[in-house]
Amino acid sequence: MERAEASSINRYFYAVVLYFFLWIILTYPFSIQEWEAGAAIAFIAALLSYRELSVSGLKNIKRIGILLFWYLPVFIRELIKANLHVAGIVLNPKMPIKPGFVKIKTNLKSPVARVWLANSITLTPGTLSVDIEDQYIYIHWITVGSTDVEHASEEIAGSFEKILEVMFK
Amino acid sequence: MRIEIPQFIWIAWFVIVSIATILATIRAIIGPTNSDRAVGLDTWTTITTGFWVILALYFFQYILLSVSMVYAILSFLGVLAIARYLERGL
Amino acid sequence: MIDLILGWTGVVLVFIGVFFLFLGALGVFRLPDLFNRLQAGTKATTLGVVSTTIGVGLIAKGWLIFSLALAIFLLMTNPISSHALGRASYRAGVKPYKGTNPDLYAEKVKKESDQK
Repeated sequence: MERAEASSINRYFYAVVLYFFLWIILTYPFSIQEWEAGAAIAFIAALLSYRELSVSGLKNIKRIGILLFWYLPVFIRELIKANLHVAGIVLNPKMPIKPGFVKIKTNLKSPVARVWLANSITLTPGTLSVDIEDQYIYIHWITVGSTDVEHASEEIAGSFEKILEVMFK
Repeated sequence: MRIEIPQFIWIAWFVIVSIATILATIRAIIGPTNSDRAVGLDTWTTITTGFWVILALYFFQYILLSVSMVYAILSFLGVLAIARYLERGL
Repeated sequence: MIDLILGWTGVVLVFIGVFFLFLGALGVFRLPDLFNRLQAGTKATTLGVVSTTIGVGLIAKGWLIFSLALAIFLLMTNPISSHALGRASYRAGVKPYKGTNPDLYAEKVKKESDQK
C-alpha cells in the first residue's frame, strides 16, 4: 500500500468533487433538486470511501487537465494506428504474424502511473501487457521488432512514458 | 430529437453486429481450452454493449443507455471473476 | 443545419464502430492462439464500442454527455479485463502458438512456480 501524500481533508474534498461531478453526469437532464440531493449524497459517500479513493487528493484535478489536453490526443492517434494495424492483419488471408513475449523497463515510480502505462500499452499497435513486476512489464507483441530490453522499451513505451512522468511527478 | 435515418442503414448496422456476435459465440463454443472460451465471452460482452447502445438509439429511449452502462460494469466484473477463477480456482 | 451535420457525422462514426466490432470478432475467430486473439479482441472492440457510443451521442440530441461518460468507462476497463485474462490463462497453462519467439515470460512463470 502506498503512503498517503496529501492530508485527509484534501482527499475528502477530492472525493466530494468527484462524486458530485459523476452524479451530475449520470442524472443528465439538469435540475436544481437533483443537484441538492447529489450534494448531500456526495458528502456522505465521500465520508465513507475517501481513504480508498485516492492518495494524492486535489492534485488529481491538475492531472485530469494534463490527461485531457496532452495525453488524450496522443492516445487517440495511437489507438487509430493500432486498429488499422489489427485490420491489416485480420483481413489479410495469410495473417502475417510473428508473436513473442518481450520485457520492457519503465522508470515510473508510482503504482498508479504504472497501471496507466500498462493500459496505454495494451491499446497501442500490436502490444498487450501481460504481467508487471517491479520495474519490468511483460508484453505480448504480435510482430516482434527487437528483443533487447532498452530498444523495446523505447519503441513501445517511449511516447507515453514522457507524458506520464510529467503527470505523476 | 434525432435526424431521420433511412431503413437500410439500420438494417446494415444490425446485420454487421449480428454477424460479429455469431463469430464471437462460435469461438466461445469451440475454443479448445476454457481460457479461449473466456476470451470469446469477453469479446461477446463488449459487442453486446455496443448493440445495447444502438438499440437505445433505435427505440429512442434514454433509459436503455443506462442499461448499457450497467451491462458494461457487470461484464467487467464478470470477466475479472472468471480470470481469477482461471488463475487459482474458486 | 448544424443538427444535420452532427447527425450524419454520428452515422459515419457508428458505421466505423460497427465495422471494427465485426473486425474484432473476426480476429477472435481466425487468429491461431489465445494471446493473438486477445490482442485483436481488445483493440478492435474497444475502438468499435467507443466510436459507436460517441456516434450515438452525436445523433441523438442531449445524449452526448452520458455517452462520453460511457465511452471513458469502456476505455478504462477494457484493457484491464484483457490483461487479467491474458495473465490468468498463461498461468493456467495455456501454451502460446508454436511460432512464438522469444518467450521471456515463460522464465518468470517457471521461477515463480518453482518457489511455491
